[in-house]
Amino acid sequence: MGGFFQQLAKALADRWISLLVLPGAFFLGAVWLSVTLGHADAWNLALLTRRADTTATSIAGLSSGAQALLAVAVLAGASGVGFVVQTLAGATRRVWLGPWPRPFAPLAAARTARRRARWHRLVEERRALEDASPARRTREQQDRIDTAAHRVTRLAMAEPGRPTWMGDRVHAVESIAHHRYGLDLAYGWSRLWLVLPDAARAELTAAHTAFAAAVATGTWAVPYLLLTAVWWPALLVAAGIGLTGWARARAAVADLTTLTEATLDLHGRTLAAALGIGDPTEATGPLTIGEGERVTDLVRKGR
Amino acid sequence: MDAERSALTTLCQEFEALIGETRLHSAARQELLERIAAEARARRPVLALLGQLLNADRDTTLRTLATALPGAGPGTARRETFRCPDGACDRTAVPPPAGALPHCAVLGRLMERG
Repeated sequence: MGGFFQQLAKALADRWISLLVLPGAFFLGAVWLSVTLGHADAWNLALLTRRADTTATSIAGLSSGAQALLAVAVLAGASGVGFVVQTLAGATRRVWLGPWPRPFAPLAAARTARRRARWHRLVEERRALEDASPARRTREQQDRIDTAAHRVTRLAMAEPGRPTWMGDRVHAVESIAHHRYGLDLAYGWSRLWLVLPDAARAELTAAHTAFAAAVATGTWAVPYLLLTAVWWPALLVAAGIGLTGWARARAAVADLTTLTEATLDLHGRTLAAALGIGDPTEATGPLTIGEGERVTDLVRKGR
Repeated sequence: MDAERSALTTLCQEFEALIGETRLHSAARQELLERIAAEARARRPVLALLGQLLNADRDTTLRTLATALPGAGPGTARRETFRCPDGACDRTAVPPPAGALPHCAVLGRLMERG
């Protein structure tokens, strides 16, 4: 048991350092840099070196007790900033995934409508190519159709319903669950999760962890953005961090939703069987819409 | 589904795309892919070799293969067509990709794939 707690403490300490303290310490360094240089001397390296020397000398002149206190204060400050930023991660997630809060509802509706119209246009282009080609297609004709189909799925995996690409990836899974399996994922997902085999859970957890880490990375752009008020080059740092987080989040959400759709295809029936729905002699095959609707009735309980 | 079976399934599905991608790489990688194919045909484990091909450890290989092989193309598009559930009329319907399945308004049943 002692070993378990040691491992747990080590894991928590690693997480605390990598998620809160290190980025927080970098940010405190950036705050010092911004306050030291300001807009007027944004790139003044000589001034920066002078101030760094002065600060280092001042710190070296402190008693060891004061130095220890300063180190603790920096650690506490870094952790504090980290906690605040982690709290903001929910907002980043909402901006990237939607639905957006009420004041932005008109903008979200306009973006969703534009995405939906573009998606239908691309679907029509694919249909036109399919209709124009005979049943037996040449390789080139099939390639053109594949490319057109890819353009559709690159925009959204099903008819768009959210203002962002990432939001639509998640929306597509919900839509497929509802339209193809009669399953309401808002209530059905937790039940499905509890009957999934360990291998499927491990894959989904890994994909979700990657997404959560990307959201945390992207959220660090916010405090750097605030620093632009006193030191404009912080904008470049904020843009770099934000873009890195956003790109990683797109990749992670693509993996997560691909795996979630695969989970539905492969394990939907497991959920129905666990709830005693469907023919018990048919242990394999996809969940039917009728079975999925009965599962939905059961888990929503009239809500 | 165990890890080897999952890796073999993905390898089989994406084999042509993988060959196309590997052609762009070194001869050593092409030889490795040939070796993977030979092992797969002999029904021997391929996961570790796929890890070498993708320059990844076993866990990363599994996670990478869980969604798609790197460099894999868009696949081959398949159109869904649905017909009258009891063949009484000639109506056909093509739903939007991954969209709701069409219903027969007369019978109130789902149309049949066909």
